[in-house]
Amino acid sequence: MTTPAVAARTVTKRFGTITAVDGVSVEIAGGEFFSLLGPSGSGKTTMLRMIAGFELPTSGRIELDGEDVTRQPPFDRDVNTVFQDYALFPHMNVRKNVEYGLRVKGVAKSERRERAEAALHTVRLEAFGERKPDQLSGGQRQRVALARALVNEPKVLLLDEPLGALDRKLREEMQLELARIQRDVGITFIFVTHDQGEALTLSSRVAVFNAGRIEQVGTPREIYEAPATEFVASFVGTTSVIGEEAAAALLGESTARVLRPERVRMATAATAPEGCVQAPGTVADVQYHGDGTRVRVEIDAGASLVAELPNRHEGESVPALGDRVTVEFDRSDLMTLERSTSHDQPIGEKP
Amino acid sequence: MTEPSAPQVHGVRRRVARFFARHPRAALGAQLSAPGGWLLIIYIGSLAALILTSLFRLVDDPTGLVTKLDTSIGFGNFDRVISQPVYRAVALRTLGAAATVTVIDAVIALPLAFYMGKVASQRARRMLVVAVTLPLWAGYLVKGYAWRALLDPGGGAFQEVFGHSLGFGYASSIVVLAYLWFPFMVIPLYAGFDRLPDSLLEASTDLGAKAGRTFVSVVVPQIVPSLVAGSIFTFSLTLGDFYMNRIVGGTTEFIGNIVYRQFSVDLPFAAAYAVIPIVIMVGLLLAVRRTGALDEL
Amino acid sequence: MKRIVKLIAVFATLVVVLIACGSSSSSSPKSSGTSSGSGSGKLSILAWPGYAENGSTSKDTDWVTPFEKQSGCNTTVKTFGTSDEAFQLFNTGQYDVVSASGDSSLRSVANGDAAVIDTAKVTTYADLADFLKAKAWNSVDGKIYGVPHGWGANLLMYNETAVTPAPTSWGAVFEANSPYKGKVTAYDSPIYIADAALYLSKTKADLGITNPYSLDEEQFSAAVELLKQQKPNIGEYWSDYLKEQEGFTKGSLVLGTTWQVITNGVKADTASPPVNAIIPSEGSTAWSDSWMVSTKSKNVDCAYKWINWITSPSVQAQVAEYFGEAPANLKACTETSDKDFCTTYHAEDKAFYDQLAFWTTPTAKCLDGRSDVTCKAYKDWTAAWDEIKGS
Repeated sequence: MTTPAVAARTVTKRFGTITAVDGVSVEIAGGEFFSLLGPSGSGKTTMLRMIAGFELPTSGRIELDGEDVTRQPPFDRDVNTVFQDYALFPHMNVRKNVEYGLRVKGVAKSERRERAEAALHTVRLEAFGERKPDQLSGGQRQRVALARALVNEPKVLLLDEPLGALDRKLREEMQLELARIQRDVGITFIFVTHDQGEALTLSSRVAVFNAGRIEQVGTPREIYEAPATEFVASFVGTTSVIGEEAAAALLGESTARVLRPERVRMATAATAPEGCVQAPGTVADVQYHGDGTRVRVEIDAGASLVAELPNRHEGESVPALGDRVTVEFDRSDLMTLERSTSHDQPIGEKP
Repeated sequence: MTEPSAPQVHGVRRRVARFFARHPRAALGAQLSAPGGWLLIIYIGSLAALILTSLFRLVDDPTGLVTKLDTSIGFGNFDRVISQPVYRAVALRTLGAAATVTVIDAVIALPLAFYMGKVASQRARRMLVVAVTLPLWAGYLVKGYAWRALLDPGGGAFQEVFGHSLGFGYASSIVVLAYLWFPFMVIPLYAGFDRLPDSLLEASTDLGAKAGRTFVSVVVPQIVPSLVAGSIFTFSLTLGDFYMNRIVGGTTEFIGNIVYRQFSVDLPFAAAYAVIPIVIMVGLLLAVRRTGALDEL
Repeated sequence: MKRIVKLIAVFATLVVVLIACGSSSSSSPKSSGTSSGSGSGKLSILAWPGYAENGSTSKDTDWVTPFEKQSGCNTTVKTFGTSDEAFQLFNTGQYDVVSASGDSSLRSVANGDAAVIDTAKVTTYADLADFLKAKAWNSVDGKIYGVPHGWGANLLMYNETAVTPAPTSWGAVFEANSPYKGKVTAYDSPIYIADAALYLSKTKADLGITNPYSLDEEQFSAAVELLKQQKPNIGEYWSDYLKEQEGFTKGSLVLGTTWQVITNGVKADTASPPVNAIIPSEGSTAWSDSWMVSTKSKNVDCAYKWINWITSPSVQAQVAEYFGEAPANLKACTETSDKDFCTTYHAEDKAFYDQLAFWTTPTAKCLDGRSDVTCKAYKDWTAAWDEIKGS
């Protein structure tokens, strides 16, 4: 078994009476693009800051390459951080910003230059070396922050919601850019985000945080296709939950099930085809969002099902609020939760 | 019975109101003209009067007892200020005090303001702000005479407790002035540190810099405008002060002491000497304009 | 528009109020605004501290309030610290009467600020000591400009515990390596140059100083040099007499020039070390003060009422004993609580009086009669004082 690049061992962090991180254990292998996903206040940023060394865990250990670094200050750790607000030094130009880490470590000037140029090349900002941060766009600043961290060739790069401040188009571009850079440099990336799309797109593995704990760790496919808990299911996609009573009425079994919206459609046949389930109900909400329409139906069996209807042709009817409709889905698309409640068994172990 | 004038007045008022509604700049101008004119008269007017007076001179009248004002323009007073060693010495002493007070305040205020802006809890921060600004509520003379009581070589508190006192003199003037103007240094610095994002400090640490390096390479450059703003206060306030010399300065004299004495004997010369600190401050402000510190004021 | 007009009106009012406040505040600090008494006269007095006490310094020291009651003149008192200040304030025309010393009186006369006194209206004039009347500092060309108030010498005060042996010469304050370095004091005014000149007139005869207020170039620079030599020994100069009193009481000052009133204050304080004040062997500079009336006064009646009041025997006795000076009105000598008071202060001793060097304004035309040289005028004295204190 290889030593993990980063490991947290039952790490807990309390701020006064608030427990931000609650007994988290996780191992991250070298070269992984590992995302910490969760809503704000779930403890993912605190976790990242403990890995960086900005926060001291209340209990537990942080290991880098098997070495206990829990009490090491940030400047002694071979990790670098890309901050949410980029934290570029406003009084230095781009090149000086990028060179800063090398200068602090006493790297010779010529080598410093060379490596800074290379880092700026990696983020495609060769021509911007003499600019001051306030003369750059948000995306460019983001890339300077990346170059400033990468130039130090850390073992692990920590990214704290680095794309949060960018508009959607730029964010998508930067996602591709980040993925490319990570492939090129081969450094372990630990990426904090609250955007499940981003996490699923970029990561080799994702840890889903909730209330200071990890609900599930897995590949994006595992997380999406086999959510371990109701929280993961609903946070990672807008998922409908069919509770035990509704399941009994609708499916003839008393096990709670979940269902993805894109697997729910409007029934076209009067009776359910083989392997399908039909459920009558009333339209409770209609949301149009460009490439599709999301319809929430309160089914008579006592659950709320969300259906994602693609927008195909003009004139195709979309149900209106209050309409009586029948929705339909394949029995095989129903997913079972590993656990119904979050914290009743050990979590966060590598699957 | 109708009053013929009432609707007429109304009409005028409406027309005026309509004019101002359509020309908001004119409305603003009209509203600002009174206080603006007032400012112009008080500030610019008095300054102009000062400079004009400095160009006049006194001539002895035949009795030799009194002097008459000769309002022909000349630079004789400035000539005297520059050529007489004592006036140069006093000006330099005053400048030296202003610079020393500024340095003392900066050295003490920097770590305190850093603590207030970056380390202390919200509660401690509020208490420190109150503590630092509290002395501003006490009068100048109250503080001056309190220090006199402390410094008195004939049984002041320092003498009694430590067996030694600075006594009254140049050093005491500097110490007390540094105390007096301290809040004017701390508050801009505190504001500067408060505005300095934590992430900049963390980024520096993250990139391998220890505390000292971070302070020199990141904190100081960011805080320079605030430091300059605070320095402008401490420097100019010291430059213009003279009364603290009378309270704790022993025989020390600053520019203001000479101006005060000459005021009742040779007004044009007093005016010329009073122009010196103004020239120094204007020069200083022009020099620091580039640093962006003036935006901090 | 109406609002703007209103705004301007408000500002205009503010200006008026400010100006009014400005003028009244300069006279109000020690004012006694009691409106009792008959009549509706007003009087604004400019005086040395201690000359026109209205109870604000000490509740029992008050001869202004009785004056108001008797005369019906509403009186305000403004004090000054130096003769320069007195001259400058009197020149503003805001004050009806001033207690002028010799180093400001002639300047006020020459400047046209002081009016000729109608001695017929001064009921006490005949009782005032003859050797004080129509002197060089209160009359010009035979016209009387000042009514004598009182006189006294600038004394040498020393802390009897700290200063041994007891000094007998002004040399104690002038010598270069004083054992009392940092605890010596001197009067903070250009006129103090005369004290140095007086000392030199006795100790350096070759300079030929006969009148310490009439100094040619060489004599003047010798006096200035002496004062520069003295400066490192000075702890603090004083012009506010309470400051000197505090210094001697607390012990931060032990030696220096003083007025009798200050010595009285130190002696009255039981916490003070013992002090003594003497006229040293070289003699002393001195002051002889006169009341003058402003040419711009609109309250001439009250001004004369005040002069008659302050030069009356009983009030003279009060002022003289409070301040520690010889009264001008010799009838006061029978009214003093200390029956030997006038003897102690040589009030009737013309010979003693004549040996003192009374403050007078130095002019370019030498006061000692020399016509072959120009003397240093008061403006030069001020510049030299800058040089002494600023160095």
